[in-house]
Amino acid sequence: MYQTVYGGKYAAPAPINLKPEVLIIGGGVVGITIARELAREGMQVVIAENGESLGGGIRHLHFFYDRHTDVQQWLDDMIADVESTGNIIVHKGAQLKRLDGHLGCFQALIRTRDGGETVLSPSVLVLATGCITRPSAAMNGGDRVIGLSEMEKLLAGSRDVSLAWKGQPVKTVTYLLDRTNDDIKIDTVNAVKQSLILQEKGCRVAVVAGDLKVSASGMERLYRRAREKGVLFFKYDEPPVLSPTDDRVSVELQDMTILRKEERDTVSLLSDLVVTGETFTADPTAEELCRVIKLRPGTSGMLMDDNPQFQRVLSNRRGIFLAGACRFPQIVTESLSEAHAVVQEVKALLHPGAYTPANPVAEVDPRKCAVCYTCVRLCPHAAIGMEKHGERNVYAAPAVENDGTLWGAARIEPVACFGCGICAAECPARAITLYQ
Amino acid sequence: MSIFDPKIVAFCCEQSGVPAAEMAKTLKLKMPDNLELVPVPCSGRIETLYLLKALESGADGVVVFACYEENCRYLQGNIRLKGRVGYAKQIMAKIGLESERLEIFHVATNSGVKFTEILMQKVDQLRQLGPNPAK
Ligand code: SF4
Ligand code: SF4
Repeated sequence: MYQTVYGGKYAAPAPINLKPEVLIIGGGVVGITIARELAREGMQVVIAENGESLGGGIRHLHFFYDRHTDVQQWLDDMIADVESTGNIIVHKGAQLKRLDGHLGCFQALIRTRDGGETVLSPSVLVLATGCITRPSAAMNGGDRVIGLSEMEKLLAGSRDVSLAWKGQPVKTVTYLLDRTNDDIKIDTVNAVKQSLILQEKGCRVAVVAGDLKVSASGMERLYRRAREKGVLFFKYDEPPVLSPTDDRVSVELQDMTILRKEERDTVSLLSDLVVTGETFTADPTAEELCRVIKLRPGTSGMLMDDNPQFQRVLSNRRGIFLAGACRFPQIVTESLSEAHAVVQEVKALLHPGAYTPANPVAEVDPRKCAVCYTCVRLCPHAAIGMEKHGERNVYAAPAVENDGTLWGAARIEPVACFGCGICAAECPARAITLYQ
Repeated sequence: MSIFDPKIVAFCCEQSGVPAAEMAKTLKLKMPDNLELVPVPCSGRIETLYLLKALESGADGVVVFACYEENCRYLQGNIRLKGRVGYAKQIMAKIGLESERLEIFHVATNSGVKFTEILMQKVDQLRQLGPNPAK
């Protein structure tokens, strides 16, 4: 009778020591939060920030939707704290150029813009490179159409004075949110938050959206408050038309309160300013980073796809974690909870001081390996490398036994192997066995 | 004459097929009598040869229970499997075996009912096809 060959002799792989050293790529709010908490646990943390200063994408944000703190002040306090903490080292203008090794003994080459190079050997890597915000598809509305971030800046700049755009007072503002991915809440959150601030300043505000995404904590309350304060919300099926008049923009949309399509009237909202949603793309360095780290890029250019088998912060390599907007565009509250999740994961991994490979683990018989690189290409967890370590093997012709010549062979790093068996199934030389 | 009771070999991925089978067992759902479950750590572990060997050594049908695509714990195990099943089917076509004798089904951990439904349907299908001529 037929049986699978998984099972067999079990050679327990040796445990590997884990030093409490962590490298964080990206010094945005997520990177900083993780660094602070890990440093508090007594770990050595290095932050490699691509830009010239810490902070990252949150520099465009001025108001939280769920608390009254000033974002920039809060951020500056955190940065000051990070820079004065002894066991956090910050490299600015730094990029990860090379990464060898695996959990417990990564070798990371960091190059700064001035040409300096540092080699680090962290146990664990955390990626928090964020994403880039871009204005959404150009809407034809002339210079009275701005993006949400620009509005944020405008509001921050006129905290105590009334709102003005290009020297003219702004009395009516319309938010026009396009349909984006269901899970991206940034547009809705910012629009509702800003509309409340505008309302306080005495502006008339309307929010026109295909769908509002209020699935963040406290958002439903905020939405209700906005309605109570008099912010108008309109839903659309067909995208509204923008037509500039002399000194305003008119947003024309169908009145959706009438059920029959033919009977619907057109509502036009005359606005001094139209604020549109924004789109989010992966950081331009993300692709290069994926190549260097051997991460599997997600479909939209972000790092990692959503996969129900992986917790949100895990990557396809053991010992490499992801958090924040580099995974998926998200609001600060969500990013922070991912940051906390990473902290927990790193603590749980590093705390015992050693890691013992526990899964079924694959092993190459170096005498049989034909050095075809099939397994190296296919391993989804980047656990296989080539090494000069086999004695001469069956493919070395003529076979001379014990003549001491080294022969290259694939080697599976037990610490990095997840034990899926893909390599064992594909090896044409049948040199790989999956032990349990 | 007793009715033909086809032998089915079911490869089950430990992330989805095995829990689904366990659930079916807990729910005491009706399973085919002549069934052999083969747990594998990931559907990507299944070699082309395993599939063909199963048919050679007595199975009338082979099914693979894998995770839904993009749900693979090992990211692309089930995609590797798809390629191999395609290859095995090519070989089966060459030697004159019906392609229905080999099929992938995507299940989730909680698909106990679906798991047995698929198997019972397979039994009916194989009854119509008759015994595997290659065994
Ligand atoms: S697939 Fe097999 S033969 Fe090819 S490199 Fe890997 S171990 Fe060696
Ligand atoms: S068993 Fe899977 S994770 Fe381990 S080396 Fe092989 S392909 Fe990579």
